[in-house]
Amino acid sequence: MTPAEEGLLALLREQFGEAVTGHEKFADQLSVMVAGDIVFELARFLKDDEAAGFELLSDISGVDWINRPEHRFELVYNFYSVKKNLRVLVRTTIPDGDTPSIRSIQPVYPGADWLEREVYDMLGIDFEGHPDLRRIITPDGLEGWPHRKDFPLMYEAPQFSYNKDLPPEIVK
Amino acid sequence: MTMASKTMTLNLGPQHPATHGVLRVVLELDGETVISATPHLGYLHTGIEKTAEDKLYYKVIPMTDRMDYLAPMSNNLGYVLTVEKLLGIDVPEKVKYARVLLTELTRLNSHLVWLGTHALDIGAMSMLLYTFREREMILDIYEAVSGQRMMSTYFRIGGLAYDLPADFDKKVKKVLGVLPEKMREYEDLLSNNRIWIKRLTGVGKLTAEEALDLSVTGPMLRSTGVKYDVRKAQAYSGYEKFDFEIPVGATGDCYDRYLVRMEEMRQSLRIITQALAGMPSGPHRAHVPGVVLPPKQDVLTQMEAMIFHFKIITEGFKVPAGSYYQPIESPKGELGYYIVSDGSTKPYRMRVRPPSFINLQALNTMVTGGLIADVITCIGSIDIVLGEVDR
Repeated sequence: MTPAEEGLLALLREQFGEAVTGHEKFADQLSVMVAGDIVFELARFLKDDEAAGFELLSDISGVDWINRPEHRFELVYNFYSVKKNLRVLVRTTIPDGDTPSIRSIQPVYPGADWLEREVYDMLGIDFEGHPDLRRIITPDGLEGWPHRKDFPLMYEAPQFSYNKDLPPEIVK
Repeated sequence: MTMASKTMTLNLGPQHPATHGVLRVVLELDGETVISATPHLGYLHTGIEKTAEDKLYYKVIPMTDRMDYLAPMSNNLGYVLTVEKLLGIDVPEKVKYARVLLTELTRLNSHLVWLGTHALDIGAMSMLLYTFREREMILDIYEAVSGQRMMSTYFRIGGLAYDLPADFDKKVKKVLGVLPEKMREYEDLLSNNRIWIKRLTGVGKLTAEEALDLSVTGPMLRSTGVKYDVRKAQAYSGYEKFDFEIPVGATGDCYDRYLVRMEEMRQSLRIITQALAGMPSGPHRAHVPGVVLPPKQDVLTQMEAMIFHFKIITEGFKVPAGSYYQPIESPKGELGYYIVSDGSTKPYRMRVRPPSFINLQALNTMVTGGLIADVITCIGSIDIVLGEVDR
């Protein structure tokens, strides 16, 4: 690990204590695992704190780990500091449920707007405090969440059908 | 008598040629002034990320071309680099040089199309014919190396599909000889053209803070003065060996973006010259049995090579569990692939960080308060490809 990465990790541990649950270094990539309820404060800290200085939210991606319901949805926030040329992936998990939810970081990073909308669209994760959480890529009337592992890959919902009483069977 | 103030809602696209594909923007107008612009996406959604979860690793490569179809090699490169990182394999020097050379040609290709269509949107119609004429030379190189003009699918995990053809040097030298002069012609036509300056200067301005807040990358971010280029910041595929500058703008308007992209094309030519001069000889694939296909001659003569070939094609290869995010500098901005592997032969999850999609988010900020005619200028200046926006 480089000194800059060690410094960042120490800073985060000092600021958030136990909520930083671990870290991982794969090749040249640093990941920090955190509890879901601190993501908003962490984003604000990363952006506003002088010592951190992450100006750019590069990406948010969601992964569906269907075989572990208590940590089913993993969100990966990708922060980048242009000044320090440092990238960190912040990972958190959300348990399975009717409406899995997490606090939106759109108020801190306005660029999270469409990124969170895409995660909502694809995985059905509710971002609390997002000003305009609508589907962004799939049609408005679509039922289900395409990137969940239980969403069939080879099935297209019929747009209209004559046999309304008998919906077509979903073939996986 | 009092006049009631009323706004008008105007639907732009999705079948409008100036929206560069199937982009639909709902504009809220007060007279000719834009109050807000709301893009509606998804007309070209093909579910590439989801489909990749059901394909063997090497079968994903052709799909990546179809995202940013103006920069197929950049998309290939981002994907193969990510998988190579997960596998922990290194590629021969020749492969690195060829990849750099071809992705820089791709940048020229993409920027030439951008220049032609952007000028066409604004009314300088002849530019499109000129830039497409020069682009033909680059498509000829694509065809020579891969057999395909647009969807080249030339890079492979651990190397290249085929060795570079015999007349490759000659074809690249032709581009290097012709393009600098042609670029001077473009600049003669545009840079000091009064209409071009009036339509671009001060239009679609973004400050550095706004651009960073909106996660904007690529030439759009650099036009605001932020010197962030993945080729320098996180050098990949041997970019650290090449000598080139990162052009930055100052005002962050459409004219600055034009200047930045034109200078980027010059820098690409510099990189191509260096890559061609320093092109090492050697194999065009890494030697990793079970992952990278063995040379065809061995497959025809050796039993073991044939077994490897057969197994890779039919079963694929296992990638160790883990996840990695690899960014590259595509012509549009930071193109990232985030691949999660669960140790099987197919990606568990593939996420693409699409620069066009994220840069398009800035459209509302760029056009609000401006005139309706400038909306077209701004869309052109972002340089979007809808295949990548919707994926």
